[in-house]
Amino acid sequence: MGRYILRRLLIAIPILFAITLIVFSIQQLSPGDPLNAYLPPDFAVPEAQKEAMRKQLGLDKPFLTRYGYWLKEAVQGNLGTSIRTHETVVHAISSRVGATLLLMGTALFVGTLLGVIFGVVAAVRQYSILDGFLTLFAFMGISTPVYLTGLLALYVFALRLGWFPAGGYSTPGQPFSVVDRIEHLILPAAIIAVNYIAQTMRYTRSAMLEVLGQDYVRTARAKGLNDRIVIARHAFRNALLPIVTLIGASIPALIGGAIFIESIFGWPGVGRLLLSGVEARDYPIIIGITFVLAIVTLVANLATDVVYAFVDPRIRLD
Amino acid sequence: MIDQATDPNESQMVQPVYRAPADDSLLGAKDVVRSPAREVLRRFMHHRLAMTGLIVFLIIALMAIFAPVVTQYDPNQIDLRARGQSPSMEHWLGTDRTGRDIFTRTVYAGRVSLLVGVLAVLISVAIAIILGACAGFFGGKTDMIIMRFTDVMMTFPPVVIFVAVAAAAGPGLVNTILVIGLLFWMIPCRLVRAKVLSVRETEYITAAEAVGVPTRRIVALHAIPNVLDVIIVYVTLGIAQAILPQAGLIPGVVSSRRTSKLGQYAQRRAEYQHARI
Repeated sequence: MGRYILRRLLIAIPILFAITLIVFSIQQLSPGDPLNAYLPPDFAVPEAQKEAMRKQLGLDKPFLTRYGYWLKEAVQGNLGTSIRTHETVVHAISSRVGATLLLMGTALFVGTLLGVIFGVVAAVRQYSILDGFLTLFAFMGISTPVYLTGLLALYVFALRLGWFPAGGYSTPGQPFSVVDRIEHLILPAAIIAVNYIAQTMRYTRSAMLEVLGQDYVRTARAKGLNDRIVIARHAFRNALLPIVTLIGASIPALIGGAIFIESIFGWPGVGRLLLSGVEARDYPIIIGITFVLAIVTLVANLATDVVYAFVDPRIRLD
Repeated sequence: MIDQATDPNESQMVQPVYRAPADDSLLGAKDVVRSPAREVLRRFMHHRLAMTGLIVFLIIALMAIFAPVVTQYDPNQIDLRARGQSPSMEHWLGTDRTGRDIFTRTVYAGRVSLLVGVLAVLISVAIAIILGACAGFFGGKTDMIIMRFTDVMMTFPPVVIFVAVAAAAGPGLVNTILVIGLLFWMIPCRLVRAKVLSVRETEYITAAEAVGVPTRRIVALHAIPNVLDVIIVYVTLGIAQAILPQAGLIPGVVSSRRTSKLGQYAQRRAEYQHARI
């Protein structure tokens, strides 16, 4: 296992090269001039001056030269500066990653926990009214777009009922308090969590259904074991594989954030930074975020694969 | 105890009544052994909720297919005299800001959305099964190459790719289906692979290998059918999710603005409500 992990870490290096190179080329193919985001739209700038600005920003250099330059700085921990705001990319991401981590971490934790519980219950009581209700909830959760539920929740819970603040990260003009932060967190986190609940629940349910029909579960029951112990120790442990996979695949989102929910709720996270970056063709921001996401994805998938061996000891990876 | 013993149901269980098969076959084997596909069909037909779901789906699909018969309006016909109307007998769901009939637009939008949802999921599930099963079953170098490619694909934020594809290949229905299909196979692929990694080590695979079943047959007939649970869940959730990103990922960038899709529609409605709030 140790050698396998080492090999995966070594392979990660050329893969990171490939990813950044591909994102660089995609940026090259995308339409639009970053200068347009840089300059006010109703402001006539002479072509000569634009040329000078391109030179100053390094946009006149050939593609590979720019990539090489970026790479040289990136390995030293400098991901460049935003074309739009002049903020360094490292600072832009690190100042927002905390907010995203809080939002996505809460949503993923609550979503996975409830999703697993609901999934197990739905499988144990297959075709019961409760199962039908949970299934209905899951499909409504999956089929309703978050920008719709987000706006509805804002309207109902923030504007009509006034239970929660209408977006934002904290109440302006007030010193930081945990209660205030949680009040701002609940609505957006709940909406993202619904999607995680729905997804986790469906996969848990089907995995549990398969396991519950196995001979060893029947044997455990025949021995007269308590039903709870059969479900928790004999069945659930063998249904963990898809759940672990889903959690592992969700880890990059902890850093990448949720574009729409962050935008609707004015949550100052990485998802919103990426969206504004794409809109403004702010290449350094887009490439910087992708680079960080790539590292997190590679590590998360490696960790998932290592966990497989514990969840199902039959699995051999080398 | 005495009560139970005299219970008529109980005594019947103790003494099973032999019933001759209704037809002439001696063993009645046809009644007991069914192929998995027939068994699925039989259970589905007997499940009331499943049949209700099928009927609702068929109604929606038929409405989408026969859209011109279902509604008398043109989805893109602007009628400035009928702007922003509430639902009425003429306009079942009312009209939008330019007087287009919302019910008609929803029905026509269903055409595009169903097509995109179903086809995109078919593409992604095919990729997921093939790559996931190969990676999980063969392991080693095959697994390393396929899964590192999957890692790379998981890394790109979809928004970035949507914009790039729209720019390079142009908007349109086919490109939308392809982009969604080619962008959402990674998680089902990892799910399939995880399951196959585990299935590969089971006795029935070893047994099949021992009696010399060709590898291709083992993968197709022994490994893949045992990961169907994951695939079925992905397909059911995936169709709904594949319809949404059309709107979720920058509406109007990927597909041309003239075709309305349910997702875009929902978003525009949502934005409009937001503006009114």
